Amino acid sequence: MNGFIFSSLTTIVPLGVIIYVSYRNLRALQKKGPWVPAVLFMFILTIWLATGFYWATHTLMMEEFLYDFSAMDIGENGLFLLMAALVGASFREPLPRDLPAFVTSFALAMGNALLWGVWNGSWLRDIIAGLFLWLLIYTLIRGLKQTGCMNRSTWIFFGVGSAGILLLQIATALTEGMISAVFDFSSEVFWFLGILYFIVRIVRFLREDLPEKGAVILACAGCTWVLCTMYMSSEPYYTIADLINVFMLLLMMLVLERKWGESI
Amino acid sequence: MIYSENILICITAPLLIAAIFLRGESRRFAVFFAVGMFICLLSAYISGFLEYAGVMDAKDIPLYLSPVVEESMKLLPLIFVLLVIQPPEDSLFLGAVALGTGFATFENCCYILTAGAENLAYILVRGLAVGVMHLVCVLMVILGTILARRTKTLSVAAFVGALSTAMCYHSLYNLLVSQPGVTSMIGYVMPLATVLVLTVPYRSIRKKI
Repeated sequence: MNGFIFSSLTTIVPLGVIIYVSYRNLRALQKKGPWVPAVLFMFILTIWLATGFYWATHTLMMEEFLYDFSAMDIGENGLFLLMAALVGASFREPLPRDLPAFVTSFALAMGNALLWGVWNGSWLRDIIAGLFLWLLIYTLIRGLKQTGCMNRSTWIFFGVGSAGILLLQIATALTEGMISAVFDFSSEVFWFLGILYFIVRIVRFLREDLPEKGAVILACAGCTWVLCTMYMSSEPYYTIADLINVFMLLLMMLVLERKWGESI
Repeated sequence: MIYSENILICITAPLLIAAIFLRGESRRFAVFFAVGMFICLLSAYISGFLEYAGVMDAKDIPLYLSPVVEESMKLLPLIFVLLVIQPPEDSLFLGAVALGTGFATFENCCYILTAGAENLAYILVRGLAVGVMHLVCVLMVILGTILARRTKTLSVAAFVGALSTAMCYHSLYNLLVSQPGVTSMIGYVMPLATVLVLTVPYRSIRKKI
């Protein structure tokens, strides 16, 4: 019974917060006028709400499994695309091509997708999702480079951290018992350090009113990092990341309100 | 068994003849309304074929496949118009509204002929739920299309993302109304609630564009 109440709360509370963020975004659109990144953010919130309710309803109503490429998968892939479009729409000019970013983002996204495949066995679905994630990570890396909002040491931390997470997750999949749990926990430490970095940067931007021109891109990167954490984590880390993700959406709303109408 | 093709001919013939005498936006509305009905029939064919081909169980088709098929099919005439005629945003918007309304109208006609029209309460629910749901979905897609036109980078991503949103929304509606009870009530209210929530900001935004 306690488990049911807890799982219901972890489903309902995030949906309530997302409804509030949607309301706030709609009000901002009404007051400040249309701005493409904000409208795309509205789409992101809608897709988030729709998939959230879909998951909750499906779990309540049906005992059967969800087919591959159901509304959940369509929604998740759509979310990656809309996030990438939001990053692209924040810039006045198209982002320049970048071969190293292209290759590293491919390695990172496909590494994630293959590990999802190992975990759930839906290889085709996961590889397709990995391709959309690739587009998002590639756009984010180019956007972050263009704005220069991350210094060299931070790039090294995220580069080494991402590679380390993939290796630790492979080790988790290959081992069993206590050793596997240790590898899994170590990778979660990396994930949550990354989340902490993004939250600190965004909160600092909001509190100290910093002239950060890449704040929107940073918020998108934070959301993506939390999404990746969710998709690569088992319970209880998944639920923690899910709750943090709602907080990230709230932060993103605040960043968009601060940067309304500005193009980089 | 209903003869949907005959119903389509019966409803669209006066509309298309009327379009000859109409001009400008009125003609566009009449033509897109008829196209919406035709697209509804084509979508039913495709869903029927997928059911016949055994891709999924008959009960699962409306839950998992129909939203994808219907939203993709509704998009095709809009893409054609966008690429060939390149109309202004207002005309595109009007076309999308007519298309969605035509789609919903034809679906409702076929449903009424199959299930009967005795129960006024249910007919009202049908009109205000499914009818409005198709309209909301097509508006999402067209808003995505307009955004994609305004975005210099990753316009295709914005467009496909908006289509995915419409598919998710449609899937959620179909899932909610698939079983009687509280969930179906929530499902029936959802499209109208969405329209009510969006009407105020929409009016304000349209004034500022």
